[in-house]
Amino acid sequence: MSGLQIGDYSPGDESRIVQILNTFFGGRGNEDYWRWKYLKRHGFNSQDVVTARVDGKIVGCLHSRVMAIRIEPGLDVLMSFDGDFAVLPEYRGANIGIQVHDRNDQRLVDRGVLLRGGFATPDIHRRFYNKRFGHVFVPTSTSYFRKILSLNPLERKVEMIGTNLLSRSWLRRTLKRYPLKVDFNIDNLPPFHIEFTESCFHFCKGSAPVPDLVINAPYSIIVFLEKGPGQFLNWTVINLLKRRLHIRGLFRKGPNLLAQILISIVKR
Amino acid sequence: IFGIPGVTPEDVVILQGEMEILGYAVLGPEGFVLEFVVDPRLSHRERFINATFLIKAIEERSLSRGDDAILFEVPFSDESICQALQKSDYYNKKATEYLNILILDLVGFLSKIIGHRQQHFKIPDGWSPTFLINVKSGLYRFCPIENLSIQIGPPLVVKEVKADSSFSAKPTLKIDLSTLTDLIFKLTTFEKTMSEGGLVIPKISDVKDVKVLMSLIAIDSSWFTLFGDYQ
Repeated sequence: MSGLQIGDYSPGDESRIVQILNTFFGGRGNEDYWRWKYLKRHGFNSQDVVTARVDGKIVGCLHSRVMAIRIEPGLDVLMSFDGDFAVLPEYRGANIGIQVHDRNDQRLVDRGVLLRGGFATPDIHRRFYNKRFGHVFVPTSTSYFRKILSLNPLERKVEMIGTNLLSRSWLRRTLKRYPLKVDFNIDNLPPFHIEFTESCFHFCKGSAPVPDLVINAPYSIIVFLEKGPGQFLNWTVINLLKRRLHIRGLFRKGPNLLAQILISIVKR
Repeated sequence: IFGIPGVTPEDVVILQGEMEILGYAVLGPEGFVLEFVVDPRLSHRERFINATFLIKAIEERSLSRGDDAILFEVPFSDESICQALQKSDYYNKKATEYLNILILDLVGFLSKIIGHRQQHFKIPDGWSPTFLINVKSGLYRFCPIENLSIQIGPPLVVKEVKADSSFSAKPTLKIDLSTLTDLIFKLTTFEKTMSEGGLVIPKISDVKDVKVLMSLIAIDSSWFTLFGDYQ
């Protein structure tokens, strides 16, 4: 590509770099955050930020952080963690990413760095890092544990589940004849209700004025929802029997709802 | 820690015993727990109890800040902390990104590993062969070395060997760097590599020594690492 220059960070580049990162990844913070993450880091070297410029304007970047890592007790080596690696979409296909990545290989060796790597999804690893550079996934022992503290993540999850489930025509027919408003009171979370209609699962904060069902549940309902339908069903049965899970209105509305579901399935 | 934009002293929680600190936790931006440590010298039960207290405290801090969710990253071998998190209604979230690696400096890396084995008396007594390894690139884009020699010694000498017009030595083994990486990080086995032709040993008498070498340079540990975003 004509006008392409691969170089290192220069003071003043951060504004454009942060713009590219937020365009590409989203949520990469502002310039203050970028300066803390890179410039203010102990041992920062301008080679740690490689830029690609076309006609003087930055169009891509790769960030590295050289760290000592402990492979085994007494065996520490230097490794470069690469990340925040982005090339603007309109400049792809010209091998800019490869040139940017290549720039640091020998320079890192000269700095005594023995390994290089980073974090990638299996798809990006296969298509790019493994195919282009030879990276391998190494066995990791990191476990991630998450807990929802507010309703915002739940709202997104409910809408996603709704879009998925409403692709089933029998469910749409059922909810067309029999829309539902269900109140949820889950331990440690504010109350909310979901309006199940044929077009969407509408998440609303607070209780419904006249709910069809009211579900009172321990927080672990969220945990088991994430684990999949089999484990969730198991959890539901156990907690109903142990009276930790209460569904008010089930016997009043349940038979009608079940009948509607059966009719909708038969009509399929 | 306090240099991170948005992190304040209130985001650091310390669990104090009678005479000493038993553990601490640091809450970073967006509910990400940057550090979570419980004294490793305590028993499993004590660590479990202390971890439960710390989890509750850091969770309350995250809630007061208005975070949508809170995320911990811990080694799955640390049963006390993992069990405390599960008991506190945390769910084990599946990772979407994983750590990938390539070897930049093969001579330096092998030198470090074998040197470490020597220091820890893991080299068989009296075993001091010299290996000449012909290295192809495989999938590696950066593979500046074609031949390297490993002299177990002592002294241990690992060095690049330049092939010039006078170079006539026959290699002990031929391998590509991708296959060697797989063997070092235990993504494959010596036997499987041999049977697939990924490792060629011209002289049968060298097979046993090469197998010992491969077992020496293999790395057993799995990697625990936090995402590079947070220092």
